[in-house]
Amino acid sequence: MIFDGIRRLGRRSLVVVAEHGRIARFGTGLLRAVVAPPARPGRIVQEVFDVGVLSLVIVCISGAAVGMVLGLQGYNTLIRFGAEESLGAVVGLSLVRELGPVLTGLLVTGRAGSAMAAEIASMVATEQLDGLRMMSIDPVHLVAMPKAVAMALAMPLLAALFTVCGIFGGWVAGVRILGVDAGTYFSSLESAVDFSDDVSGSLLKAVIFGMIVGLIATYRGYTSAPTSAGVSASTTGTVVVASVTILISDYFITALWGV
Amino acid sequence: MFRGLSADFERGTISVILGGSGSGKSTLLRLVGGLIRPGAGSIRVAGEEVAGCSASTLQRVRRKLGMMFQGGALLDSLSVYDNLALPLRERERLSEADVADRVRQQLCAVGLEGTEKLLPGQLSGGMIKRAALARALIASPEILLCDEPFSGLDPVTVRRIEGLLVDLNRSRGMTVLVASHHIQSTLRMADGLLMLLDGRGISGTPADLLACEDERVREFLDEGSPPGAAPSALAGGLA
Repeated sequence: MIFDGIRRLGRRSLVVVAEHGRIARFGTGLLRAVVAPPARPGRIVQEVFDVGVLSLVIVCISGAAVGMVLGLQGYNTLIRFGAEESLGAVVGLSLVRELGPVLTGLLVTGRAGSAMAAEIASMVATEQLDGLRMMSIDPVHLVAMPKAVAMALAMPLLAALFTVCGIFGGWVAGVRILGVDAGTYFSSLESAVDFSDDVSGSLLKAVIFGMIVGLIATYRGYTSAPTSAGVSASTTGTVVVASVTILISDYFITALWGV
Repeated sequence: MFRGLSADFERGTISVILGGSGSGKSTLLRLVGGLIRPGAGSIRVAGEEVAGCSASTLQRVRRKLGMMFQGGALLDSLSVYDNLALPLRERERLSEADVADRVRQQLCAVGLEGTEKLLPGQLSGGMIKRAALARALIASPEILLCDEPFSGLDPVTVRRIEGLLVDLNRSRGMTVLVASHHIQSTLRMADGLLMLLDGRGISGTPADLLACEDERVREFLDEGSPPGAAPSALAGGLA
């Protein structure tokens, strides 16, 4: 009985280790494809459009909503200490350092990462990737690399937009609804948020989250079973694994680099 | 899947792999193309070993191969023109004018003029097969692999694709390897046959197969006969 449990644990551990090895090998292939010619700028721009432009609405609306909630909650908390003039700093720092990159990562994973995985998985199911292989064309270079690069490029831009919309939402809630002075809101925001520390750290986080989502989405699509169930499993797997990875890596990035 | 399977497909001939659904026809083609690596054994294509070979060797071998997939495997985000142009743009240093020339010639050869701007989703089943054949041929391969080129097609389109394959073989000396369960087409065009039964193969000419005493072969051929005809009636297709 005990030995059975140990055996099962061992088997599962091997599966997990093997899966991580495959992801690492796939990631190495992606990196090699990034530096190997041709550069494929046209395909990357198209993918940035698919990831970025098509996620604009959801990112803007979510950013504004999160900012408004932060404005309300921040005001209600700060007023207890007579510190409501620090509302801009609370909203700005929360969004720039944490909520902007993390929530954007989660939103883009659901919106674009899942679509990316589903597209590649359906190409697997319809033998399109095998067709490329038979033409001596590397599917990682032609299909996966532009998508992964686009995700890493689009994520910081979307995170920045999320943050700006959030600051606007905080201004609406704090200034327009609750009556905080507009000058105080923006001056506390400006004095609290440091570009080299907070903003660049936020962008770095977003780039790392973009790389994580790009890697997981392309890997899940690329290695999916060639069936409709495989397409659906790759989509779900991308959202779950990428979301959890973003949250865990956020802790480590913050703990190790103080970003 | 295969046990003790040994087969030769002669250069410059049309060879057909016959067998029922799930007998391993497509798997055998994918093994030849290096899309699946065998657990054991040897596969030689154009003089090169592909079982267990390096990625660069496989790339070199694949440049001699063209493959027409059962579902077409055309990139559904690209137009018919771009699908055909893709291998030329990726593998050969040709000007865009030369690419356009080659694509138009190839589309003309398969009777798909005027479909350049259409997406694969806008094509009928027969047109997809012909576009897939055109793409497989665009880089002038030495060996053409066709996975179920006649499945799901009407008799006129079957004849048309069959004619294209025979013409490629006779006029260009191209080696054609077809996986099919379409018996009448097979008997009309094949120089050599490999029939897959329970992971083993029976090979020979179409005449050999028709004369075969094996019960399972006769049963398979019976199923492919026109209603009321004996298997021997299919021999007429050989002429």
